[in-house]
Amino acid sequence: MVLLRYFICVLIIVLVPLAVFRKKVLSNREIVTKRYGTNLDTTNTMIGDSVSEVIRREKTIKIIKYIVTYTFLTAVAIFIIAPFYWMIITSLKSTEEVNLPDPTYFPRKIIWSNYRVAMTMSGTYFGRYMINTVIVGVFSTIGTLITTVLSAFAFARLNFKGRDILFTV
Amino acid sequence: MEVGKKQYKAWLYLAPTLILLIIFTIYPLINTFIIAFKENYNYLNIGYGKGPDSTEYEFSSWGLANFKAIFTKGDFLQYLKTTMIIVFVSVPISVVLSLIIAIALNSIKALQKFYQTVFFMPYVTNTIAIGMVFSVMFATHGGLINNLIKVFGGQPQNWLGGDLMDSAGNSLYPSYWKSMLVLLTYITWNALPFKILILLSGLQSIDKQYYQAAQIDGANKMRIALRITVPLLSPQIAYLTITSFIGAFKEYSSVVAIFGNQAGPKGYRRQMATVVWYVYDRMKTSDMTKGMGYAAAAAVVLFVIIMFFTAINSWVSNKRVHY
Repeated sequence: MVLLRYFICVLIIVLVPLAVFRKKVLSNREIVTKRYGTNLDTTNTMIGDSVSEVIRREKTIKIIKYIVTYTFLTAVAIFIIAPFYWMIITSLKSTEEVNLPDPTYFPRKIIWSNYRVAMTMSGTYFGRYMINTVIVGVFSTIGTLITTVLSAFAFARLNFKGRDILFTV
Repeated sequence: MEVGKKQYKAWLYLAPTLILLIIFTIYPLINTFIIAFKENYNYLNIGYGKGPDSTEYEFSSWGLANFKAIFTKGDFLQYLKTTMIIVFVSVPISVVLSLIIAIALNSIKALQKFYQTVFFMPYVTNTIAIGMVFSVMFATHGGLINNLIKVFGGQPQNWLGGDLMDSAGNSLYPSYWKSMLVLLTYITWNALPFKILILLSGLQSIDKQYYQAAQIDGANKMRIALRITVPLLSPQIAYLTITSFIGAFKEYSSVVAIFGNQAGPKGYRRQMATVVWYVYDRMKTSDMTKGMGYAAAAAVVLFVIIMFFTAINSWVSNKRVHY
């Protein structure tokens, strides 16, 4: 389990920068050639040098910008994911592990039977809860669709007295 | 003839919506206003008047006694203060944060879809379930946050109370602001996805020409963001501000999710209660004459406050929004 944990960490650490900088890294000379059609450096003038200088500086700024942006987005993503992660790992922990004074960041022993117990525990009618949810979901969607489609049609296609007043309501 | 026939048809199409609206929105709204002005209201009785036993009738007289009572007795003002703090802290923070996130998301290509999916996740989950996860994460013993604080060398904090005791056996209560911080974190967490979604779709519809022109003119990034992005996004920002102001005034389920239906740590009831919590609590009280009437009065007060702030919001956005 420890191995799996570190594997996931390494995967994230390696994959994120790879995805970010997956573009083929070009040398300055190649960039100049690509942008301006000819390789300015071959003329060996001051212009070629300064252009490649500027492009290099631009590229550095761009990379720094990307690093800042991705760091920020990753931080927010961790903030958003954390409760989900905590919920899922807690659902797989044993009771003793949940009540430890120092929490573990990954279950020492994954206990899938928590789910079976939650669904079949006496006094818990999981099937009934599921059916209730499905009924509410399906019928409220149907009801909303019928009423809103009908009234939208009335407002859009038909002219009648008091239409504007009613629409604001 | 033609016009008359069409009118009849229009009302037929509107009938389902109108009937539902009248029964479940307009009637309760009007009735709430009426009940708020009935003194000693008790819906179990009928009739009106001042008898020898005032609980005998439905209500004793018309007047402002309910309003007077909620402002002078009990902690209604405290709940109002909590609600105001939630509104005026969580709404600006979540709007600004989601704007920054949306701009950052819009500027990248790789992994954009992945981050979008991650940021949208809170929207499809249940307020109560994740609120309970937050209360577990902020637990004093064995919570994630306190563990992180310990790892970085800080002192564990008492966020939510729970069953904590000092050495003498007295319960330890968390300070108001620590509990408030947890609540605000959760509300912001919950509010982000919808705002990011709206702002990102708004950003993607902005014409690239504006940015190219600004680049040619040599405007820096900060200037571009403040002078182009924000004004062109102002319809979306105004919409989000108004709706989230209203939503934050009606905050209830997040308080119940984190602090339980007593709206506070065990034995320290109502510390984090909001106005809607008060309305709900009054509805369930066993003292009938202090129940519905007070709840209706509190609801009317909240309604007036929301109307006031929505009017200010629309006034500001009418002046400032660039359509």
